[in-house]
Amino acid sequence: MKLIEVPQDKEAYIKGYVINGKNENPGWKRKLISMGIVPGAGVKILRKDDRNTILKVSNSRISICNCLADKIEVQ
Amino acid sequence: MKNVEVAFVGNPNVGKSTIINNIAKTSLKVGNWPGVTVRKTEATLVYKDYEFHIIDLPGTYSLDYTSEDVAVTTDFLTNNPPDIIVNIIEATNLERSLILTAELIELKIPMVIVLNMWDEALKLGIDINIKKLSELIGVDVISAIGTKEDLKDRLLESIVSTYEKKKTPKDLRYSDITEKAINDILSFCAVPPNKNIPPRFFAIKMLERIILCDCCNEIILKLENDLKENIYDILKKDIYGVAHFISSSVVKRSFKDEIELTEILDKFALHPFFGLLIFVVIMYLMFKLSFDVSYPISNWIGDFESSFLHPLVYKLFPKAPYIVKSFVSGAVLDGVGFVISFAPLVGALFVGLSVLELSGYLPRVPIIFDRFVSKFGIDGRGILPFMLGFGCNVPAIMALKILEDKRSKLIVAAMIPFTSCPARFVVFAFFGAIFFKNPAPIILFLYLLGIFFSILTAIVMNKVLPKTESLPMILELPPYRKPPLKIVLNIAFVELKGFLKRAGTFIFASTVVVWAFLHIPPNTNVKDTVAGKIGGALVYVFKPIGIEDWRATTSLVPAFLAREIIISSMGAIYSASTKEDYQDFNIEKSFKEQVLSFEKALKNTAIAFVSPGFSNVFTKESTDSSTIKAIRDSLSPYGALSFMVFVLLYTSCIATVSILKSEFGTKFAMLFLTYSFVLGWAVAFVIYRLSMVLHVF
Repeated sequence: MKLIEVPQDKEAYIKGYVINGKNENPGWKRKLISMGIVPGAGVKILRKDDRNTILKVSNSRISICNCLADKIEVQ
Repeated sequence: MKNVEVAFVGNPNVGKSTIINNIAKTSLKVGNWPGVTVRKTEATLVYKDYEFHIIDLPGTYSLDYTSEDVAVTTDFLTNNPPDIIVNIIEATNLERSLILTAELIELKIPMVIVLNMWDEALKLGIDINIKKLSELIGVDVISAIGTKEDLKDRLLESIVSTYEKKKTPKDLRYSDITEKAINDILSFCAVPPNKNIPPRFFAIKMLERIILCDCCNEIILKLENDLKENIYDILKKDIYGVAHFISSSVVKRSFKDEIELTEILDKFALHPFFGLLIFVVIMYLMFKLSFDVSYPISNWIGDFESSFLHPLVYKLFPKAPYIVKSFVSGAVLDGVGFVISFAPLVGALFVGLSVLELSGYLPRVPIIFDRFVSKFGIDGRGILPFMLGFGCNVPAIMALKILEDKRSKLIVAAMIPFTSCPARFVVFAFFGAIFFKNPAPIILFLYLLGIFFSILTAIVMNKVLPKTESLPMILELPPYRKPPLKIVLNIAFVELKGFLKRAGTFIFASTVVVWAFLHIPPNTNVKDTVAGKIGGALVYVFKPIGIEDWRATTSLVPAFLAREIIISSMGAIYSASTKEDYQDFNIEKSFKEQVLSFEKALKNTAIAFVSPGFSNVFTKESTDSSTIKAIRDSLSPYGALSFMVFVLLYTSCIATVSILKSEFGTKFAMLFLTYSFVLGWAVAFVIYRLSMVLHVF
């Protein structure tokens, strides 16, 4: 299940990132990880539209563009 | 005296600059949004037998090279390691901050940890065991409320003790797989030589593929083939494991999550429709309030200068040589005095901007505009430097460091110079008050016109520049905070001081040159002086756009240095061509009138403050000096509007051109200067002709 599919105000846990190919460490993944969006972290969708998703991880509110939200898997 | 270099490091928007201001009583720029500090800034502080050289580094989540401001921090810490790192951590977000801390620990530089925003953590029911945290990491840890309590003694004592004991953090050990990968790189690959930083730090960066080399790539690929897992993921999982272990060992939360005020406010502030509406209302109120609150005082200063100081000079020194009286009245009073009269306006504008920055509203603006600005090749982050342009174009262009790709930087750099900075605002307010009964709509029109041409320029550049892959936008949104009054006033005071300093130095010097050109050769008609001849020649260029008076065109020449000089130059030029008669001036009577007038100005300011957006101080009549009357007679309202449009669009600011040159090269700066001149002239021409045809005034 991708992040964007999580209903608003519902909590989920980050499972991983969807990346094409093997062993990729694109810049966006590094940034997400350094900002605390890591596998195992609890996440809540505060707002989402067709372009941006605002999520809450721990005590941080982070806005990410939708192309990235599509690449985050949750469970 | 021992010299100690102390670097303040931490995630963005954790209060590094605020804490430096707290202990060193400096006035570093602060704000409640990530990216306030985009370059290394410094301060010096003497405490007991130590001279501390304090360095404020741009906030980062990781030591890498993802953007220019982050690279500043990474390069500084690895190339010029300081004696001490003060690691500022947001107490409400300990676990996330510990990821960067894990990277800092590997530098093996003595460290002090400051848990800032301690009060906010307590409010959220977060209790951190400071003693245990200190034991686990092996360094001093102190709690802090950077905006409220005096931290000087506590923090400096801790820094001194850490420095003297060379208290470095404890070693970190990761999983066996990660440790083996690190050891393999250290054994087989050439780690960058650095006498101050342990090779292990660089080995980890090679493992992260931040430092690239064939040797480590081979090791990484082999390990990944054996493990069937990405080694970067394993390393980050280890680092996160450490952060989670430390955090869960020291943090206790006493109550469950509640929906915070920030989340409620964001439901409206970030709404695609209401968000935009709220933005427009906030911006309108900010400009209107700045205008209304400051105008009575600004008007009084102008009146005090022309109706009291001016005649006073002639009354007190009736026998002084004409050239001296002319210098004092023309260059000092009518020149610099005009500019100084706008100080209250500049102060009020910066109070408004600081409130927006410190409240946390500003970082929401990129999200509101992201969809719109994406149409011309930039993401919402470009809006932040653009917004800063309304404060001053120079730091706005410097703030482009927060953008990650050069294409976006070029596009936003070309947009910023069309934003109406306070220098333009001062010119608009000056012309508005002289030529128009109600100048507020005219000034609003000019602001919108500037924004329109910013967007148009961005659209053109988006078409012209080669397309590159756009990088995704990831932004952290700080909670809304009540802006601390002391810090708001401090920011406004610093900006105001800068404005007055410019008036007293740069603008004064330029005005003296203009005044001198008005008196060379001596004892001739003003029109035959050097200034008169330059202005006369320029009339041919500006006549088609309705600026036909040589005095007005002459004032545009020195204005290339800074826009406010237009006003000081006009003061000097027009006063040289007018004759004052102060026969009936009575010092005592006039002084009493000024005192009464000042009281009235304060009262009007108070009324404007309690009725934001509704007072209409611009309709107030003011006493016009002969210089003001001469300016009014030299231009028609259409010509005045055309003049304002030209000033808006032409980048007549040497500081902006210099920063464009240093950031993007001479070619770009010169091309932009030419473009802005041609655009300014062409648009002024169209507006001048169109407004006359339509009989707008």
